Amino acid sequence: MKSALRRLGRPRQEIRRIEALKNVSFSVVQGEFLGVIGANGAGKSTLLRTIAGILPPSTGRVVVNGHVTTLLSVGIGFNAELTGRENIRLGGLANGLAPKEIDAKEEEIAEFSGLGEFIDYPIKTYSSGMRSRLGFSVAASMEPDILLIDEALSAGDAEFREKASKKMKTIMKKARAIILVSHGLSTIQEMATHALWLDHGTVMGQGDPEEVITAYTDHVKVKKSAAVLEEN
Amino acid sequence: MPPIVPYLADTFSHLQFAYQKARLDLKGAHQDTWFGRLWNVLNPLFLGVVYWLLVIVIFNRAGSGDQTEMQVLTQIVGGLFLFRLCSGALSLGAQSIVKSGAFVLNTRIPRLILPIGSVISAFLAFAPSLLVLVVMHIIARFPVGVQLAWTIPIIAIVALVSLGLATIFATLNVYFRDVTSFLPYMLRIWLYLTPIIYLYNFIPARLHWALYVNPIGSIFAAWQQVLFEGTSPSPSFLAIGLAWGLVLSVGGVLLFMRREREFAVRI
Repeated sequence: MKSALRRLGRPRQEIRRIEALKNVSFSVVQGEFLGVIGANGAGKSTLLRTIAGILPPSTGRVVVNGHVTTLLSVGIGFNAELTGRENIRLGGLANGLAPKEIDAKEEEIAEFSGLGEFIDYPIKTYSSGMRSRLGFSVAASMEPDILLIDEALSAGDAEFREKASKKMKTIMKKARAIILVSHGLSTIQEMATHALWLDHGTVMGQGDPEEVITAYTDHVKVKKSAAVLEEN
Repeated sequence: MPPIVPYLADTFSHLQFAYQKARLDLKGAHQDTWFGRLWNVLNPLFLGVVYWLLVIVIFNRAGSGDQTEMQVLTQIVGGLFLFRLCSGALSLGAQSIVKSGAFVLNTRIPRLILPIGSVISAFLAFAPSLLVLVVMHIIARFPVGVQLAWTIPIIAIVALVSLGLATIFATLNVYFRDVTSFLPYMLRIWLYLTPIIYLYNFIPARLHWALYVNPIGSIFAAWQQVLFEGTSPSPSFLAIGLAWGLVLSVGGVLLFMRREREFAVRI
C-alpha cells in the first residue's frame, strides 16, 4: 500500500538495458548480396534498422555509401483506407521520387505486383500476401543503390517469391548491394554471395553462404539435442 | 543532433510526400460518414453557433456598440476557423510520432516530415472554411477592402506558430504520453484566453500583457482588426505574432531534431 502511494498509483516500472547487437563488425562491398540468418531475437531486424539509419548505434559507427531503400515490413506507411495505386504514389514519394517519376513507374509497379483490379481497391481489403506483393513492388522499382529487405517476402506466395527472386537478381546488376534477412535458408543459399549468422546480437559466422548455413543448422541441431537430454 | 542543413534539405525533399499523405489521409478520414469532408467546415460552424448561443442568447450580450447578432456570429466563427488551424495542427502533431510507430521503425525518412504533415493536414482542413467565412463576412456587412490581403500573412504566421507547437508536442508526447490527455483541456483554456468569442478591445488595459504572452493572442487581435474593423493590423501585433512564430518554429524544430534519434527506441 505504501509503495503504491509512493508511486501515486502508477504501475511499477522496471528498466533493463538490452544489447541487441554486440561487437558486430562487417562490411558489404559493391556487388555483394548479404544474407543475414539467425533465430528469432538474434538482432537481425535491429541490424537492418541500424544500417538504414532508423536506430542509432549506441557505440561504434555505420558508414553507408549510397542511397538506401528499405522494405522492412509489409505495407508500412500504407494508409489502409487508400487504394493500392494511391499507396504506390505515397511509397514512391516516401522514397524520394518526384511525382513525374512516379507517374512514369506507376503502371509498371502495378503490373509487377500482379494485383490486377485489386490495385484500385483499398488496402484494407488486401491479404498479407497482397500487401507483401505491393510493398516489394514499390521498393524494388526504386532502383536502389542499397536495398535492405527484412522478411518482407515471407507472406508472398511461391509464384511471387520466384518473381521477386528474379527481380532481385536484376537489381543486383544495377545496385551496389542487397542485404536480405530471411528464415528461408534455401533463398539465402541460392541468391546470396555472402552470409552472416547472428545469435543473441553476436556474429557467430560470416562468409560463404553454404558454410555459414551449415554451421547454423548444426548449431540448431546441437541445441535441440541438448534440450532433449536435459528433459530426459 | 544530425547536421542541420542536410537534414532540413532531406526534409524539404519529402514535402511532396507530406502534402500527398495529408491530402490522402484527409480523404480517408471521413469516408465512412455521410457528410464526409464537409465536417471540416461543419465542426467549427456548429461550435460557433454554440458560442453564439452562449454569448448572445443566454448572456444577452451583443458585440461592441452596434454590432448585430450576425456580426457577432461571424466574428466568433471567423476566430474559431483560424483557431482550428492551430488546434488541429497541435492535436495531430502531438500524436504524429507516437501513432506512427510502425512507420517510424520501418521507414527511412526524416521524422520531422510527420509533424509538418500534421500542419499541412490542418491547413487543408481549414482552407475550405474560408469560403464559408467570405459568405458570412458579406452577409454580416463587414468591411471589404484591400486590408483583407493582410489575412494571408496572418494565416502564415498562425501556421508558423502551429508548426512550432506541433514539433514541440510531438517530441514531448514521446516522453510523456499524458500530453495527449492534457491537450484537450489545454486547447479549451487556450481558446478562452485568445480573443475569439470576444473582441480584443474588450480586454482591460491592465490585462493587455496576456495578449502578448499568448503565442496567438496578438495575431488573433490582428485578425479581428483586419476582418471586423476594416483596418490594417497594428504593426506591434504583427511583429509579436511573427516573433512567437519564429521562436516556436525554430525552437521546436531544433528540439525535435535533437531528440529524434531516441524516438525509434521509445515508441
